[in-house]
Amino acid sequence: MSPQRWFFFLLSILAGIGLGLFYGWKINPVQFVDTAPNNLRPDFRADYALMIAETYQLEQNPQSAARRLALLGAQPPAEIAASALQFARSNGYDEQDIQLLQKLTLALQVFAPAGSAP
Amino acid sequence: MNKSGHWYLLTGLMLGLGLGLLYAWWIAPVNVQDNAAPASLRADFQDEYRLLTASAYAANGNLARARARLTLLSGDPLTALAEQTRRLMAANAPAESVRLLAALAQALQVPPTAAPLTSGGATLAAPAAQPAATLDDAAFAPPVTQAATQAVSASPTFPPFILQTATPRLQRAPSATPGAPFALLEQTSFCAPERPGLLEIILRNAAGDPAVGVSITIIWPGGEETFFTGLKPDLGGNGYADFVMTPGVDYSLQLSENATRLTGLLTPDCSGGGGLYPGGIHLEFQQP
Repeated sequence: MSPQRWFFFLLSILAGIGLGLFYGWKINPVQFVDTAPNNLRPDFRADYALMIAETYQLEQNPQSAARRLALLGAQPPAEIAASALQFARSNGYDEQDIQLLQKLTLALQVFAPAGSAP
Repeated sequence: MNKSGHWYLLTGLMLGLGLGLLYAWWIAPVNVQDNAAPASLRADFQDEYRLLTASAYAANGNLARARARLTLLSGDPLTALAEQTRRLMAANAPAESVRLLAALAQALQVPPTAAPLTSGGATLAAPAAQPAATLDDAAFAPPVTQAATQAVSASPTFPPFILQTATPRLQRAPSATPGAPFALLEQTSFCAPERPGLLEIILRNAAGDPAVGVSITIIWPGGEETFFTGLKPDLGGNGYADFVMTPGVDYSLQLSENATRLTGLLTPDCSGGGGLYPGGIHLEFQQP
């Protein structure tokens, strides 16, 4: 093949790769199933934490809240709640929702689970 | 050279396409980390999500919010709630969990109201009257529907899932319909040797649809039992529940948190087939 043909051949391969990547990443990406809450998108994670905060408002049970938040990651529950609070603040959540997350975060920061070191 | 024409371009394109797909699907698929939607959660985590939604609803009484959250999960929200309630009862799970799910299921059977929701001086657009709320109703920012239904996207260019409703906290939504007392429509006795002493109860909501997850309490001298509609869908549909009565015992029935009460339920005497046997009672209730 002539150098010109080689050039266009490589160009067509690159175009094909581009199309394949676009299709495989954007149009028809791999569908994940059976995921865990710690893989949720940040906005869904924040809403999950908000549900816990709403429930905490009624139950006033930090242990239960900590157990539920543990599904969202390996970090300490207070950190997870603080991350959700940060997300809520930076994304224009309702003031009442922010307050709920704030209360939950504060409660978890002072909460010492049974059996933990003093 | 002319013989081959431009087929080499197509060959290159197909080769590249294959390489691109190989890379995008197998070598470096879209990262699931921080990209998953609630619908992709494992079944037990979806159960936990549903229970948490019910708990949050019990705390804030915001039905639009609970409805929108449940819509994020896979399947019909009401059916999923009924199934989960059944599973929890079968597994002798804490009664509180069953009660929370049943309360949410009962509330969800009422179509969204057309009246505007008000809170803190702000008037919010009411959710559309549809069985399952989309995420662009009053509870969420408008563009969320598209983002929520995308299972996974390559780059996080989604509009964030933000709750916009301000709900009066620790206060039930002012709709009276969810707790509207059931009215007795029909009470009949029947004789069926294969169902001796059976108390059949069918509940319908205001729209005439089966009322699933409604708690029913049967009281008799020295005891009581609470159960829920929808636990035996194969027998009488999602609004059905039953109870086996002991002959000669005077039973009372309570519905809707004591708003509806029916007393003097006794098994009728039936004969046939070789002797006497206790008959059954069929009750039908509907919310006004």
